[in-house]
Amino acid sequence: MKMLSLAIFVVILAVTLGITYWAARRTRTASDFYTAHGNLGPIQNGFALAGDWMSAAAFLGFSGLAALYGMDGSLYAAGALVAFLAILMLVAEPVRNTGRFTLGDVIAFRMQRPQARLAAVLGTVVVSLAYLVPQMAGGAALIKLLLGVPYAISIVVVGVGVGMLVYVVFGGMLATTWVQIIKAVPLLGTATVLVALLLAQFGFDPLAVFAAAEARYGPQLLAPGNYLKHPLDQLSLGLSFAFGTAGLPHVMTRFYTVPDAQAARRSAVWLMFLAGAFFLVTTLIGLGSAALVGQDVIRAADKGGNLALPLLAQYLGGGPGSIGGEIFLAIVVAVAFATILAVVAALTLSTSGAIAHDLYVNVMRGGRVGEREQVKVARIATLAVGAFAILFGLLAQGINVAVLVILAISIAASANFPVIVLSLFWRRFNTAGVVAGMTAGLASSVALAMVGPAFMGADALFPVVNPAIASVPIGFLGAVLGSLLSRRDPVSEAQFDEVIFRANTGLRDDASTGPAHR
Amino acid sequence: MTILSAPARAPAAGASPPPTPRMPDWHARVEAPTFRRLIEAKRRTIGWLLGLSLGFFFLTLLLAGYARPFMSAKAFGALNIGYVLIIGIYLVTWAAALLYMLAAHRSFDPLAAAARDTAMREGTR
Repeated sequence: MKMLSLAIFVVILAVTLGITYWAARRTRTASDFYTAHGNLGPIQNGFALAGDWMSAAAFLGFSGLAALYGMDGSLYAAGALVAFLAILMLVAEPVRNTGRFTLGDVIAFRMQRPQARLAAVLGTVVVSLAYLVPQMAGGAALIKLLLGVPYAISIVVVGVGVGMLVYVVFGGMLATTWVQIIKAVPLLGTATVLVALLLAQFGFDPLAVFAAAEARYGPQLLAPGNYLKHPLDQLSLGLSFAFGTAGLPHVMTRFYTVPDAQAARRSAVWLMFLAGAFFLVTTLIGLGSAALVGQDVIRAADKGGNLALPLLAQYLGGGPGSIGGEIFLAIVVAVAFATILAVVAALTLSTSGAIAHDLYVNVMRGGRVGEREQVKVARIATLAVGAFAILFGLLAQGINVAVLVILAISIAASANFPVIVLSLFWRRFNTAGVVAGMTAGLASSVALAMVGPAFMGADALFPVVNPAIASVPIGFLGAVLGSLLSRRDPVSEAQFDEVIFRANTGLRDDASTGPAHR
Repeated sequence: MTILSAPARAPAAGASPPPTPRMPDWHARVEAPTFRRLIEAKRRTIGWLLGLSLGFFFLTLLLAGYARPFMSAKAFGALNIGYVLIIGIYLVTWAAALLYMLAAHRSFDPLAAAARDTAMREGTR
């Protein structure tokens, strides 16, 4: 049966690599590499965004949390949907209207100082790497557990890492976009089949699933606080999601693949419905798994509950050892693995983009770099990021994956989000504010997470798992104080008019005092 | 693609600003009534939509932290109040997204187009 899973893996990998090579032949310019020609339709982009956002953390993590901890798992899932409200209404269109390839461009457009761009690069790289490492670790754990690979996890992680490199180095944004779209479809399809089979067991009454889980484990399962014990934990989690997603570079770069703001808006709404429906049913899947498979079995397979969904698939297909069960399990695992690979590719792309485009081209070389060289530098940066990811993936063995993912989002909420929002909405904001805000946000979120319950358990110095409730205000405070306590910057304030005019109206084809953009 | 600094704004007293035919007056554009109307509309609509939807979300989270027995109380069959609120979060979020799209299509896009027209017609200074 392991051979079957292996065979399905190979097929999916071959298909996605095929897409990658096809896309690679069409990638000539830096624009192609980063924005896939900038011509994607809203529905396609919506699917690509959904593919990105429905990562393994969602697919496996939310259903696992719901299976073991009930409502806290459902709150994680709901948060992931609400995450896009602020993006839709505050950030997606303005950023599309002003930037070129990366979030660093928005800030540079406003501030026109290398320190600002440098700070933006730092924020991007830290967040992306923090997000990348748990994906690698998750992929390795998945393969190790489900394929029964007897070798050390490290070899598996290397395999995942190498696979990811191939996608991005050769394909760029075009390839990863199509991979996301192509992957989103079987992901949603598999979830649909899974939910249908589950409901069939309960007479198509979703409430019966809740009742069954409660019957087996008592009403406490459905109550909040089983996982997020501190009363401020839930709120802090919500703050991370609500504001951190706008600061996730690998998600935000997907708004540059569409031709204009209206398309960006529509793709965000498509995403909210596609991924939202998916997140809604992870609760059903998790509780169904608890009721039918049992928490003991789930925990035995993986302490964090990450295998609740695949185990349910196996059960509904006929149970362990049955042909139907093993086939369904193999399909689910292959889709989950493709999910991880695609997200890892997207992350590598945006991180290498920040390093190549923002750091090298703009800060180190003052913007004077030819197209061909830009693409070459981008690809070298990609290899470097991949190497780093493999190294830290090896070191991340045994660390709770969900903790690291939420940490990354909290960092984004505390460091990147305040800077982006203030760049777009506050006249008085200047480069000192960018640097101060970024520093305050990064330092506070990382430090508080390190001394929180996730890393220190019962001896934690900071009582809340998620630092957002403290570090987001600190990030904003740093940015505001940094601006107010330093000299006013006439350039930044003059640029503000151009920034808000362009951001709100989408005006183009006009002389600009900032870096040229398309 | 070198990074330029913005030109100095204040001319010497008594002197007329040197003609820079290709440099738009962004300040004037931002002060134009058409643009101001756009910003007002956005502030009002987005303020309410985002405020109410995020408010509902955060309220549920606060209840999940500080009113746990209340959230566990049964509402419909096996669904407790907490889950009813969670379903509400999905519905409120989706509704807010659709209402935003409606507002953008009906109001923001036309106002933005008007602001662009004004900007292009007034030309540059």
